[in-house]
Amino acid sequence: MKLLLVTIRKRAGSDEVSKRETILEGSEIHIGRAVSMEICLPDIGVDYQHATVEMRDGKLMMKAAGVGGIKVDGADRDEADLGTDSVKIGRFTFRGEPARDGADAVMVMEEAAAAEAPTHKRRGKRQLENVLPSRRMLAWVFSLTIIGVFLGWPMYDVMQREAPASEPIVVEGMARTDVPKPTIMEIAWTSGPISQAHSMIENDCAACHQRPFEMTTNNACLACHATTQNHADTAQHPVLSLENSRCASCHKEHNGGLEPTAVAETACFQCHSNIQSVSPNSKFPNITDFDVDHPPFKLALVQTVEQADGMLEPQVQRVTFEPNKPLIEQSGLKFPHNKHLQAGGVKSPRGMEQLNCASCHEILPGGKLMRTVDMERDCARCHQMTFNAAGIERTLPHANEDEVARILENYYIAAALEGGVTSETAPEPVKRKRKRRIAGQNTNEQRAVALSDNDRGIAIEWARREALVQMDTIFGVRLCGTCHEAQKFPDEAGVERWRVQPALIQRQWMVKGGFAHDPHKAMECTSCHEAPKSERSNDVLMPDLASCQSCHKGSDEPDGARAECVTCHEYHIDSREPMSPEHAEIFHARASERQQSPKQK
Amino acid sequence: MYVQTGFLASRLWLWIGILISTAALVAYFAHNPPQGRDGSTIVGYGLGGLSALIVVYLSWLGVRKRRFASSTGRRRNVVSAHVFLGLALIVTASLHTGFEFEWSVHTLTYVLLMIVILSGIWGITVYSGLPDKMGRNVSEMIIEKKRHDMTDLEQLDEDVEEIDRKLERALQFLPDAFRPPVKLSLEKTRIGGGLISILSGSSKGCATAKAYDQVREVADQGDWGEDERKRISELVADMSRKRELAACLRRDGRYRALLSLWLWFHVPITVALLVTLIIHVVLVFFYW
Repeated sequence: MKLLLVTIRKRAGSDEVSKRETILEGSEIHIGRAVSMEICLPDIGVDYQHATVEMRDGKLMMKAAGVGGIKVDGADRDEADLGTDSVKIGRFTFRGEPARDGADAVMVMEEAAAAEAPTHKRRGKRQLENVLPSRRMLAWVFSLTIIGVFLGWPMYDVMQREAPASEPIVVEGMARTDVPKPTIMEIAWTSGPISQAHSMIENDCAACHQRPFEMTTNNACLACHATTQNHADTAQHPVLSLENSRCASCHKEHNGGLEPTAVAETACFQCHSNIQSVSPNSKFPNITDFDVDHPPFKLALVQTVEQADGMLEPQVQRVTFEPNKPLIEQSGLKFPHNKHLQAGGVKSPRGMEQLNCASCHEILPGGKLMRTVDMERDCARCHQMTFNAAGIERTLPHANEDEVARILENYYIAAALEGGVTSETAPEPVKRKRKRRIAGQNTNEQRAVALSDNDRGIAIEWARREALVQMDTIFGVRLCGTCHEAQKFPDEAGVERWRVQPALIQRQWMVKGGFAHDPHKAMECTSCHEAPKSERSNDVLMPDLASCQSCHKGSDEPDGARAECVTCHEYHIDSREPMSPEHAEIFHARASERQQSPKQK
Repeated sequence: MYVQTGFLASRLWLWIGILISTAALVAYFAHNPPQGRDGSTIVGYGLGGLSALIVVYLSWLGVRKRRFASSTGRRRNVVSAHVFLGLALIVTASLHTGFEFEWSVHTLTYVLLMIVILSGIWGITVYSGLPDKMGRNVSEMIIEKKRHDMTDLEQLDEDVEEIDRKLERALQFLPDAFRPPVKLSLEKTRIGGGLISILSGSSKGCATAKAYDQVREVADQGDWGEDERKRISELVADMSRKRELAACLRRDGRYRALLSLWLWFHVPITVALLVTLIIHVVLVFFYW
């Protein structure tokens, strides 16, 4: 057989077709992958020997030879007539054509473009770029998510809140309860926990943040704190920065704790480092920091003016505490601290007793001031007000001269009338013993009857004299005079009476600085107050500025104790006008309304 | 740790980083305001502002340089600035928080920043060791460079393709018994694939390795002529080489992935951080 093979190749991706004609001879033509085949199909899907082609009964027949088989219209066949059928082997298609050019038969082989080479599958996904979403896309996703969740969502919540009116409002009673609680995303906007002082408005964001993207206004603060006093007398010292200052520039909320923290050191120095620049008439000294140029303390000391009745009238004067110049004030007392604190103790009714500061002094609740010393409670444990005559002890009242005089007189009159007094200086009628009293009758009457009028006069005169002598001892030396200054002074009737000077004790020497004892508890009292060395009660046992500065080293000193202005001084001064007269007016109007309304009912 | 990586060599930026951190620490401990040390004090604002500036500057540097591995002098300095300023940010930003963390967009800003910095440190770590390993991995497999302008990796890819052509060609001289293993190797040898297989770089279950075993089995069973024996031994040799190459390329893919995986955290989260930072600043200053 002589076979004319027409090979038609289509190139991938182009219309170009190549056509080649070859003459093959042999009784059987072999088709397969092997190079030894007459028709070699270099395709892995083709068997080593796939098929044979032969002429049988004038027809060009193809017969399957390998395991792959041949396909006609998609169906597997063992044999096919190429004259009528078109056979597929892999990507090759075979069909017959009428014989020509001297050949016994003509077979056309069309080769389709090779499928994608298997190696291409291996390429592709070897890099992260191929398997992960792009970083640009992720950046968009993350950013938009955050904008949506952390900006959009809470902002929506904020917009839902009703903004209060902007004119002055004064809130009555407690916080609003009808406001919706802040949502979880609204909470994500807060910069820290609210302080306990504001816990009742914790859920009412709009109470302070009245309008979105507006800093908290003074109006919001004043709604509750309507009567808060101003810092300075603005009528006398018009200071622009005071009028325009925001509450929140000093009071920082969202820091937790008991109350909003007051941050004022820089704000204070803004004006007080050169106070005349904002208030030309001010007489305040300028200050830049506590440890630099704080003026010496000015203490409110008790000075006295003697009155016509001999009593001392206290007059408080503020006196500058210069270093090395001891402060003296008039107390009307004779109290040596050193004797009371001496080592080994002092004599007491219970034997020797070692005293210390706490024996008489204690911090008042509130932690600031000390309790004033109280005679009955603190002194009388040792200094008992007892008057002892003829073996009978009597307790005299404190701070009541007339009553003491009366008790003494009564005592001696009674003794004189009863008789039997053993004193050698006593007159005879007083020494004389009386009859026994008759049961059921008034004793004094009974005895008085027993004395003659003359004797009775002698006895009473003696008793009065004796009482006066005793009073001289008690007031002047033994009891009152131990501690107080006391003197005799004629009363309106011209009778000389004992007058004891009451103690003039200053409760608070530093009136402009809010010193608190509580935070200083860990210290020894004597590290500030030199009581063990003080011999006189007139000594003012206050520490000076340098003593404070040894711990409070200035606002910029990290190791020191706190030394901001507000550590000791108040910004809102009690005696000043309210910061916002409008708010205060509304507040007071409401208060008087409330007072009147129950009466109407 | 001895760091070969050139971009850490700049002493200047190392000292600038140390200086910023020390200054931040000193300021933090020196200032002790009544409300405690946090972001709302003078020092807190300072530290926050400084941190924000560094974040913006480093983001801009990041956009400018894009690629890390280059070692030209100027660029090396830029990377060095990026690294040491980034490390100093850990100090300045942490002190800015005052260590007060809670559920808030403010804490989120800090968390995102820390993720960015930690992923950056991860990046430094991989860059300090992997490129060497990666270079050795491919260069050790090179037998002959066909062209000088080809990289080692391109050469190895070429080698695989050439072997594939040889395998296919060999089938034209070998009986059908050899076809399944060759087909297996040609069609089923995967290099890379999904995220997991790229990152594992494992050659367990490699199709060519299996094919290699199968070819040897088939070869042992038949009684082959002289010519066929020669072709079979060539086939075995090619399979073995392809197996090695595939494993090498998988390792290479793994190294490349490890070298850039941190960027999928570092870059998108930096963008998210910038957005969050703006929200944080806006809230703090407009929503007191």
